[in-house]
This record gives sequence, C-alpha cells and structure tokens, in this order.
Amino acid sequence: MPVCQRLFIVMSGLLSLAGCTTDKTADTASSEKIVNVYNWADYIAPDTLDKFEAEYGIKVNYDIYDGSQVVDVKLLAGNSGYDVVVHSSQYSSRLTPIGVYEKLDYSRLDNRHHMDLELRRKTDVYEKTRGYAIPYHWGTTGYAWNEKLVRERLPNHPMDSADVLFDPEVASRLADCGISLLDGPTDIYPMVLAYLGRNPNAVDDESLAAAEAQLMKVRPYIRYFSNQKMQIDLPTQEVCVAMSWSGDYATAERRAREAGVDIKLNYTMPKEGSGLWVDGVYMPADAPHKDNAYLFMNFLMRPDIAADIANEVWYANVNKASWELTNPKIMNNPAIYPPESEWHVLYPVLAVDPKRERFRTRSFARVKSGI
Amino acid sequence: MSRQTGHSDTTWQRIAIALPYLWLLIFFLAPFAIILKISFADPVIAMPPFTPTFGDDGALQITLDNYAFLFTDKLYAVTYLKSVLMAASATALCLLLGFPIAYGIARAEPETRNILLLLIVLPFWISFLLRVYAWMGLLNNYGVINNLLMWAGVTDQPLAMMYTDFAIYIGLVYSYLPFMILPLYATLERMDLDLVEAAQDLGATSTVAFWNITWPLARPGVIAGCLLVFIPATGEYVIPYLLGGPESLLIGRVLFDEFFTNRDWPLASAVAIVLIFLVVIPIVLLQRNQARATENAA
Repeated sequence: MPVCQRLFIVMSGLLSLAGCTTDKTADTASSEKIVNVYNWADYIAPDTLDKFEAEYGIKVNYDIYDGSQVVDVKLLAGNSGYDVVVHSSQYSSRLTPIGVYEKLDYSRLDNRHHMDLELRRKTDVYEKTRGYAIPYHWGTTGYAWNEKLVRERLPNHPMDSADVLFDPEVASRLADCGISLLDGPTDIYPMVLAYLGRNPNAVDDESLAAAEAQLMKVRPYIRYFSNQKMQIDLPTQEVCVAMSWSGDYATAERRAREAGVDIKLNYTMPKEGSGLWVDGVYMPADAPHKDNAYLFMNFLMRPDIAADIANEVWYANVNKASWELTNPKIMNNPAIYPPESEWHVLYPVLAVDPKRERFRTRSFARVKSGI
Repeated sequence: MSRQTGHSDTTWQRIAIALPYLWLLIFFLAPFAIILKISFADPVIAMPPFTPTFGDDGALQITLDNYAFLFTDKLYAVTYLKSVLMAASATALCLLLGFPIAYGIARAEPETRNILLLLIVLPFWISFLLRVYAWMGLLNNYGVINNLLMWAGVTDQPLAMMYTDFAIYIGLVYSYLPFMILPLYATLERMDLDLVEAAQDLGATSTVAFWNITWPLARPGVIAGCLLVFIPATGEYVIPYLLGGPESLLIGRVLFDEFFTNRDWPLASAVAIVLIFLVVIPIVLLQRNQARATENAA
C-alpha cells in the first residue's frame, strides 16, 4: 500500500534523523564495529572494555543486570540485540534446547587452551549448555558471618553447618544481630533439603513440604530475604549472618574497610551441602554482530584479562594461565577455591521441571509472607 | 475565531479529538490486546514461551485455565485485596495532606504561587528510584531518623520502620502526593472566591461554606487526583520491593514472580488483566455517578 510505504519512509527518515538505527540487514549490522554485551553488575574489571576497544577498534555497548530472571525473559522474548551475554548456566540449560543460543565455533576461540581441564571438568555440570558457552566464573552458595558479633553469641559453635541458618535453636540466638537469606527459591530450597539430608534438587510435594516446614521454624529469626542488601548491611553490621554467594563476603569486607569499619567476615560452605553455580558466556542465536562477539569472548579468556577480572570480582575461574597473575589472596582462599577435601559437599543446582517450579515458588511465597 | 473558517475548524477539531484516541490505540489498546491474547494461551518452553493463538492447522486454541487458576489459590485474592486497600488508604492520606496544600497554594499571592508550584514539581527532577533509596537511608535501623531519636533520648532502641507496611505508606504517599496536589490546585485556583464570601454573608459558618461550596466545586480535581494516585499505587512494584518487608506481599510482586520466576507468561498476563479490571471498575462506577450528578444538577 503506497500510503503505508510513504508513511514508512517518513518514519524511518525521522528515526534516522533522531539518530536511531532502523531495521538493517544482517550484512550491514555485522560490519559495524560494535559489540553489545550484557553482564551482571560489578562482574568485570574497570579497564576490560577500554582495553578491548583500544585493541580491536570495536565499540562495546555494555549493559548490566542484577538478576538472572531478567536476562532469561529478555532472551526468551527474542531480538534482545545482545551479542554476548554472561548468564547462569543453570538458567541457560533451559534456554539452549529451545534455540536461544548460537552453537559456538570453538576454532574461533583459541584462548580456550588456557583452561584447566580438571577444574573445567568438575564445574561442567550443566550438560545441556555444552558447546554453547565459554566458562566465566563459578562459585559456591553458603553464608557470610561477622566473626565478632557471632562469637559474642555463640562462642563455641563449630560454624561449619547450615544449622546457623536452618536450626531454630541456633538461629534464635543470632536473630538479634540479624540473619538474612537469599531471595529466591532456587537458592534456598536446595540448601535446606541438603541440610535435611535430602536430594537438593528434589521438587516433589513431600520434599517441598519438608523444606517449607523447616523454613517456617526459623522464619521468625530471619530479618529479610535479599540477594543484594547484605552487601551493604554486613559492613554496617545491620546483619551478622547472611546467606550469600562465595565472593560476596570478600566484597563486603573490602567495602567495610573502605568505609573505615574494621570487621572480620568469614564464609562457610555448609558441610551438609553447598550449591555449585557456574556462569558462562553465551552468544544469542540472533546476535547481530557475531564476528565481534567471537573476538570479545576470546578476549575474555586471555590470561591477563581473566586475571584482571578475577582480581576485581574475587570469584574463581577455570583459566589456569591467569592464576599466576591473580592475587594470591584469592588463589589461596578456601572460600573461593575450595580445597579438594571439601569438593564432595558441592551439589549442582539443576533447572527443575517448569510445572514443579510453580509449586516451589508458591511454597517460598508462603514462607516469606504467610499467605 | 470567526465563523467563516468553520470548515477547517471542524477538520482541526476532528484531528485534535483523534489524537488522544490514536495515542490510546497505540499505547493502551494494542498492548492490552497482546496481553489478553497471551492470557488465553498455555505456557510452553519455547521462544516465546506460550502457545500461539492459532495452531498449525489454523484452529483457534484458547484456554480459560489461567483465569480459573486464579480462583484455586488464595494467594491472588489476598494480594489483590491487600494491594487495593493499601492503594486506597494511600490515596486517602494523599487527599488529606494534598487538599490543604493545594488550597494554600491556590490562595497564595500570584508570585509566591509560582514558587510554591515549582517546589511541588521540583522532586521530579531527581530520579524516582533515587528518592525511594533516600527513604531507605532515612528509615533504616541506624538511619538518620533513628539516630536522631536515639540522640534526643526519645528511644534507646531503634524503631523498626524500614521493611514494614509503614515504610510502604511513607513511600507511596511521598511519591504520589504531587499527582494529588496538581489537579486539586488546578480546580481550586479557578474557583470563584465570591461564592464562599456570599455564603458567609448569608450566615454560613466556614465549615458549612466549605462543605457546601468549596468541596463540590473541587470535586473534579479530587476525583482526578484520586485516580492519578490510586491507579499506579495499586500495581506499584518498586516501593514495596525496596521499603517493604517479606510480609508485604502485594500483587505487583506476585505478577513479577509469575513472569520472571515461574516464567508463566500466560498466568502473569491473566493476573494483569484482572488487575486492570479491578482498577477500571471503580473508575467506571465513579464516572457513571458523576454523570448522574451532573444530570440531576441540570
């Protein structure tokens, strides 16, 4: 229809006047010197992007997120426009089978040879993501605790178990200095089930009921559920025990030091079981700048770059060649790189059947709100 | 304008009338139709994660399961009710605070009036999110307010204000108050003060004059202000998320969980559609009431 066409021409003219890019063919898009990257907040070194831009002359459009769920939805909706996405491999194992990601051509990622094969094997627990990702960082799920505040209340407690979070006897004695839990059923339920000696990834009615009953017992002693607030509240001592991911306590301790507060934080991987999580770097199947995405992904695996990032984020990677460039405090930290003897407590957090996911989410809402 | 240009007048009028309709069509009706369509689908693990409205054979595949599900779990009824009640209370508080403020501004000298109006609008220059974060700093256990109270010796234990319903009310009233004040101001400013004076001359007390003259004349502003506060407050997500505790589960969060945690877009859409109707029904009733009142007056 001519009217529509005319309207379209006028509209696209207006859009390009306004500096917007209109629908381009894949050809022109891929020749642009641009790569669109989507990553967790605080999950890269401050100079990584500058170094990449200087070396390759490719502009990095860097976008950040603060929750895995948001990424999932953007990728599911399609046409996200991103070329490189750092995403949890647990979530991604649900996205790969439905064609969200591009199968990677490993011959274009030659920095893969820097990987430590043994550690790669141990952290490669999400079968469905194989062939679609390069490893980024990995870690465990446990709790950070304030040495002074906890020892005042529990002078002789071993502090090696999840009883600090899930046993009402123990938790009640720490309630006044503040306990926080992560705000997501995918983190909490597996850890409670492991604490109860059950299969962490079970989502049958009976297992969910058992986990819920246990959480209800400690619910009165939990100050709040959050994935981020403890990063501020551990340094300010609003909470003294915070269920968290392995690197967070180190960040919290550094923040406290920057603020002139001298606190000692510890991190415990509960002996009953701790969730192993792995983040991968993925390329959406509809990425507009795939060649640049390969360059960027390969760049992330260069030993000096990987070390830069590790030194900033304080999480473990599998990049062997980067380890000698990494701060020894990180390499020798058992909370970040667990010693061989502790690996047996780690369980992978698997993606569950979506129909059962609803029941787990519902149960968690009951725990939190009582409704 | 002279009557001679009548023809082009009506053309312009039509365009002027068509514009808001066009706006509604693009930014309300079209998204609404998409959400409605998704709410009749089944969730699947695919891209996008719901079944198409028409199957491969062209047959219509729609289901009411998602709406039926909302009745099987009290979670939805309880959180809908709580959200509506909370929004209604916040609206009442905004009216209570906003009316005297709007009245004061409308009666101020013209020069001060502009400054006062500027002060009402000024907070919008700062990001909404940032202002809610600022409240976190004020209401925290060791935040500004508690430190002040403890320093003054009013309490020796910090008052638990953060992560409570109280904090949500503070956030809602603070954030939405300007939306109440501005339409109220607009009606009160136009009001003819002679009417109040006439009433008082005829022996009405200030209270009687207020309820018989000022209040009925201000009603359009009251209604506009209440709608502007109530509608967004019902589905509010950010304020309860940042200031509320885990007990403060509202429909905004339930919708988030359906969409993001359960990845059940059809059910999330059904929750949204029901929410729209919950908000629209009182508005329609109100409007009918208004229309009847005008008819009676005529």
